[in-house]
Amino acid sequence: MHVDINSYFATLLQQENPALRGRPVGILKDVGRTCVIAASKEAKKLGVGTGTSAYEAKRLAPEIVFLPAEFARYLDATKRLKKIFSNLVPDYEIFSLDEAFLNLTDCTRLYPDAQEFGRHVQQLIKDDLGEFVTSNVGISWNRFLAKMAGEIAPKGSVAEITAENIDHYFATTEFKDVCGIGRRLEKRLAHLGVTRLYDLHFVTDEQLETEFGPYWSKELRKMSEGKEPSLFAHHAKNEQPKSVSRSITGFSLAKDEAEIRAVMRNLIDEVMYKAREMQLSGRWAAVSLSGEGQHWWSHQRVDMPIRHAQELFDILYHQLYSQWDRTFNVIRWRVVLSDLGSWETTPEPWLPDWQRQEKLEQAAQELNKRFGLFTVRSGVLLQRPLIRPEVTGYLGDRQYVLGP
Amino acid sequence: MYQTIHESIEVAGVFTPGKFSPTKFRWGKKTFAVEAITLLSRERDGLVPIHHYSVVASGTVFRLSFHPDNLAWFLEEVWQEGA
Repeated sequence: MHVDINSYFATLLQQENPALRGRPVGILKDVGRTCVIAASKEAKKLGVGTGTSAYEAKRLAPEIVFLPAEFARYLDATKRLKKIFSNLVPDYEIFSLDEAFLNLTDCTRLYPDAQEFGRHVQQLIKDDLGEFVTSNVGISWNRFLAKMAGEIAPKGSVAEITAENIDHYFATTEFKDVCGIGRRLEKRLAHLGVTRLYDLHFVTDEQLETEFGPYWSKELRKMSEGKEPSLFAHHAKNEQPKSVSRSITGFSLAKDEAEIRAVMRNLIDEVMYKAREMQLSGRWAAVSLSGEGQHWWSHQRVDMPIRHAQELFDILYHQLYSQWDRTFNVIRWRVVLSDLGSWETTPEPWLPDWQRQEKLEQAAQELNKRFGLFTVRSGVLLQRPLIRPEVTGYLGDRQYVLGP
Repeated sequence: MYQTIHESIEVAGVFTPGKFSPTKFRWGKKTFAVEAITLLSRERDGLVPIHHYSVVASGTVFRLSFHPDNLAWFLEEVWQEGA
């Protein structure tokens, strides 16, 4: 069973504020931002969606109300959803901030009527998060089909894909509602005359392999047969993250060297705090910067896994960034720590300097955990506005923010 | 839009097991009766969580916060139509 809260970011703020219900609402990442990151169902009906510029949104929906995202509230609501699901079934999976899968396979005696159970879940969500918070429930024999059923069901309803109606769904569902088929793939499929999953029955395996290569040809075939594509396996629970990253887009181009350094350090401190909380260290680090239509990035692989913010800063800023002859002013930063491994399986260096740094990082981590992130921070960040952690709809760091 | 206030307030309410429901609050010299609690959330940065209550009173939405470490209540923001 797939559960998807309708227009999550906007709906929660409409639940909070009755004056916003029934009105088009556009969520911006922050005050002063110009890109809509989420829209209410009323705004969507008028053509406003994720990625629409605020200017365009105002043109499409002159009455639209813009609100900054409330990431802490969204994350807390997701934690409450997790609690609801954990009380219902032993096997569930938070797929993104506003989506989850509930495995009913072992609960058929407890919940013999899946659709009735779906309506029960919808009511529990309303009871907990509020009457205005509606959700779609999709039911089928695997996650791929359950999600498809939920995507195309009318808002706030329950839909089921069965052996009897699967052909109808496959013949009528647009690719935008099929998880795993993005816009680029959709365009390439259109060249073959394939605009619905059902059309894939008329394309041979050889044609698919010629057009899409060995990986995607098999994925597409699986989808056309109603089987789960591999991406769902990649979301498996309790899988150790492969990387931790953080990016930010500034309000204006940064020309000041101290600002570029401070933002980089800020992002590095957050990345390292998360990695350390999960007791992970990384062997591959990268930094990328964008601005004025240009892009620069650099990376480094290291023998000794990176476990300290200072180590990561030394590599990304002092070694990589300092070698770059800055050719543009920066508006977007991204730092990545990848090839992660558990501390348990990584030998700890006995170098005195490393041990001393480890003690410092441990103390800072403990204080930040107790009193809040950035309570103890690098001097590079003093007298500067702090960039706080935020969640994304995709919830790529779900293991960190939601726990096992 | 929400107008930032961040001023200390006094709050009265009802405790039930595991739950607190504000029923009225005093901001300055004015007392507001809570007509509805529309959203609850808990924010954690550090060990002590901050509890957020969004309430409707006098026809508008007030965002209140409770800080358990010093038992302090704040009126954080108030909705002002068209602001």
